Amino acid sequence: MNSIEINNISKSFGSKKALQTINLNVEAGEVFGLIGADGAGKSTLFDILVTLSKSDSGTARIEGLDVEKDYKKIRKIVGYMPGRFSLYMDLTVYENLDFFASIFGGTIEDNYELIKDIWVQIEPFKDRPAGKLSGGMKQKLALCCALVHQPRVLFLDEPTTGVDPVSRNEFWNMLKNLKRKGITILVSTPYMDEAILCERIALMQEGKIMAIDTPSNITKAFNKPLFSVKSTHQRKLINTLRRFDQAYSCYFFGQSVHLAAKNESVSAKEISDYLNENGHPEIQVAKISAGIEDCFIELMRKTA
Amino acid sequence: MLPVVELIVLVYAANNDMKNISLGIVDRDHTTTSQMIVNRLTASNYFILNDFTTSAKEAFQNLESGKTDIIIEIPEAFEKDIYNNNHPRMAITVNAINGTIAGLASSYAGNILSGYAAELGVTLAQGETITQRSIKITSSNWFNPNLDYKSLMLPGVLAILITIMSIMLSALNIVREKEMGTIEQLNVTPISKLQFIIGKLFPFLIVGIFQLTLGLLVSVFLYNLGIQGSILLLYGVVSVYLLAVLGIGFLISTVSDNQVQAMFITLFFMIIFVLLSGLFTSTDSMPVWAQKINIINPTAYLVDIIRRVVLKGATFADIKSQFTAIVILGVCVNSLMFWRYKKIS
Repeated sequence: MNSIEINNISKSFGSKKALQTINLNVEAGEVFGLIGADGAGKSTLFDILVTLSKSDSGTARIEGLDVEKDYKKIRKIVGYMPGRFSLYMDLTVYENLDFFASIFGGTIEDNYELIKDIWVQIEPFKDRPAGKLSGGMKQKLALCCALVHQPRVLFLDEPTTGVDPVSRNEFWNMLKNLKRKGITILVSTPYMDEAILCERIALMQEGKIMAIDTPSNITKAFNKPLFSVKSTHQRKLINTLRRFDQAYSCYFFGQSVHLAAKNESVSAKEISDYLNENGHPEIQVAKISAGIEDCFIELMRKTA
Repeated sequence: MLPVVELIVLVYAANNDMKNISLGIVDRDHTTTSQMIVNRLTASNYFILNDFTTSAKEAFQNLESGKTDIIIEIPEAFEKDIYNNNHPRMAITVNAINGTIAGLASSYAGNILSGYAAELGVTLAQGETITQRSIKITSSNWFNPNLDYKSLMLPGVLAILITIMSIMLSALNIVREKEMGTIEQLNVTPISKLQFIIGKLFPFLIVGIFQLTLGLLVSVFLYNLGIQGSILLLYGVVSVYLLAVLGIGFLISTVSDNQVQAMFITLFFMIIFVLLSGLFTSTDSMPVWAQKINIINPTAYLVDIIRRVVLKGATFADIKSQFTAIVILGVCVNSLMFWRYKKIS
């Protein structure tokens, strides 16, 4: 059964089309990732799904409940963690949790089982005002508050943005534990490296979904040979590579330049020879397999 | 604590009693009569003799430089004219840059001079108009027998403080939640609109009541203001009033996106409410359009009610019409706010 069903959802802000006929199904108990750059429409979609705003057209169902007609019921069964830390800064950690538990008509004790693993990590700070917590701690508290009423579906909007790598890792481990308890998790992130931690992902760009699949299937679909090229002068290097007759696409990728070639037959040697002719020093060329980011850039090229 | 300080400062500062008006005399008569007039003027608390000359020009320079506020000029042969029944004249020149001072100073001086003139049995010219005082009018001030300006200001200032505090608190509160993003977090919870609004209103209602208590304590113990009417009535009226102004505050916060915006809208309403409330100038002397605006100005009703109850000992029957107006305003504002506030954007 599908936990989240999205059919032809569209929404515009003035002339800006924030979402264009989005179709998406998330299975129950799945960890599903929405991957996209800032402004791709991830948060807009979240707002519609957690009943904070209405779509212009299309329908969406959470656990079989319509987001517009049954919004009151939906609010009882979803947990939402907004992208921005939005708990009461002047309340203590414990007071925040207690407040959200009581709003849903429960107590911390009733729901302790679900949040126990996370709560023990922030419990030492329970009398500290939430505003004085570190970034990672704030995320953990926000997650606790989103879980304290035992939601069936959890919406996490960019939960790891602005959080250090260690805390990010911990956070994803917590999500895995939650999944084991049968909670459907829809998580959005601008970090491509987090995509592989999801069971399935949707790549979003400018209000459209470019691809939906498992991370491994998405990378498998990348059918061009890919090379990582390094030299001393990046700007010159990319300009030379763009003139290469076998170049399909090339772009900066951290410290190196990624080059997708037109033909399977192209070898690393061929590329380094070409660069040697053009007088580039300290050339390193290696054939690599595509990551999610390479696929994302490729999909952007196709849709553009 | 802040409201107490405001209550103390404002009541003294917003005092309309004029004392220590700087007086300049141009005496070109130099007689017993002119001397008597000067004595009369300086004997009152109102005037301080700062300039005494025989040259009108010099006196006028002092008026221009701000050394004096008012010049009284006694011309040559003033005494002689009186005794010859020759229509004696004298001039009062007032610096009218501050209209309040000017009006009060000239009327004080006029009163003193005409009192003296009456004794002498002559009429006195004040500017262009010649007033024939054949009937002597004495007035007495009821409900505030000593015409103590503080007694008039205190209940009014209290009303204003309660208003400002409640509107500000409520207007900024929800907007702050919007800015912090906590409102989103609350909106996805199952709590209803009514629960949310009641949860927001009541703490501020209690703050407002607390402020009223504090203000009344200051009035009674610091200013020795005797509260004539029923305190219970006062609390009842203020509670209803608070619900109305808190509603206005929440209405402002539903239409603003950030605290600065809310602040400006609040100030816009506050300034109109306060200036038209009748605290500083009587509402009866306002132009008709201003009086019309006051129909929807809750603060005007409250200032009126508090003054009536505190100074005059009004009962519920006396203030029924103002109270009804506040109730109607409150119901309108709160329904509007309830309708405007949405958990879904």
